[in-house]
Amino acid sequence: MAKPATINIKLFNYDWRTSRWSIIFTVGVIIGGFMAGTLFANPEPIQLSQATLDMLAQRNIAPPTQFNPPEIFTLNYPNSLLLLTSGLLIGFGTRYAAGCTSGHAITGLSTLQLQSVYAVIGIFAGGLLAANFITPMLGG
Amino acid sequence: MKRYLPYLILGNLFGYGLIKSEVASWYRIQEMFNFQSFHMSGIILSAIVTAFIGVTILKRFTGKTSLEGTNIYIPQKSPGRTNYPLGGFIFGIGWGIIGLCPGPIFALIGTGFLAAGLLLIGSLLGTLVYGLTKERLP
Repeated sequence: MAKPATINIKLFNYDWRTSRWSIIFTVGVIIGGFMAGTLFANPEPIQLSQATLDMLAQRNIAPPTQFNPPEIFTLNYPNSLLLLTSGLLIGFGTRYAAGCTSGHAITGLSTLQLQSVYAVIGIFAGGLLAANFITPMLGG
Repeated sequence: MKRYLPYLILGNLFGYGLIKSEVASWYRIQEMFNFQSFHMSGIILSAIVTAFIGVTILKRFTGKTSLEGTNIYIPQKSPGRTNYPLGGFIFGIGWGIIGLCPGPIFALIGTGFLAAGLLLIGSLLGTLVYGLTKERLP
């Protein structure tokens, strides 16, 4: 019998049992989200600053009624493609930088690590650039 | 199983906080990146201070045994100059567009928000791409 074709990716070649704790932690995050967002959800909508409300109105995005704008977060095309692409950038970048906002800005900076300073500069440069030049093109 | 309970509780607190503090909101992220409110940057700054206090306390326990049965130590990030700012920049672009980082994606899945599932699939693909290209990246 022929062996099924496999590709050997070094990054995934580890004993996942050694980081079982991180899977448990992630399950905890999901349950925490359910508790805070569904079980004990805040009935009040998010109170944005007036400047943000004005900015969103210019982009045809309504004031918040939920956590994320229904104008952007839908599963139909082309929004689904936008979600997938953004997810791709988030996933790739997080792995490449070996951490995200929590891993670098919060735990990295609080343990005084220079590499995290570089990462945080990259993160905020990318975020500022995207939020000011790409995101304004989204919306109704 | 009892051994893993602390991780479940800590994850739970993290997820709960991400939703209650509205970190898992696209609106809040746009507000921060346009410097229109102190809300989001205030959360990040206070989290750094809290973590710093936590780490300072934890350092007093250096050499003691952790939940994993190993000695408590704070690992240093591996050396490197390019991957940190470049990877951060790529992540930042995605964050600035869609306003959610990895933690909030999971917390939002817990609220039953389907679009976050699509973001998760995208980020898993991104991880796969990283795995495939790792050796050739600067």
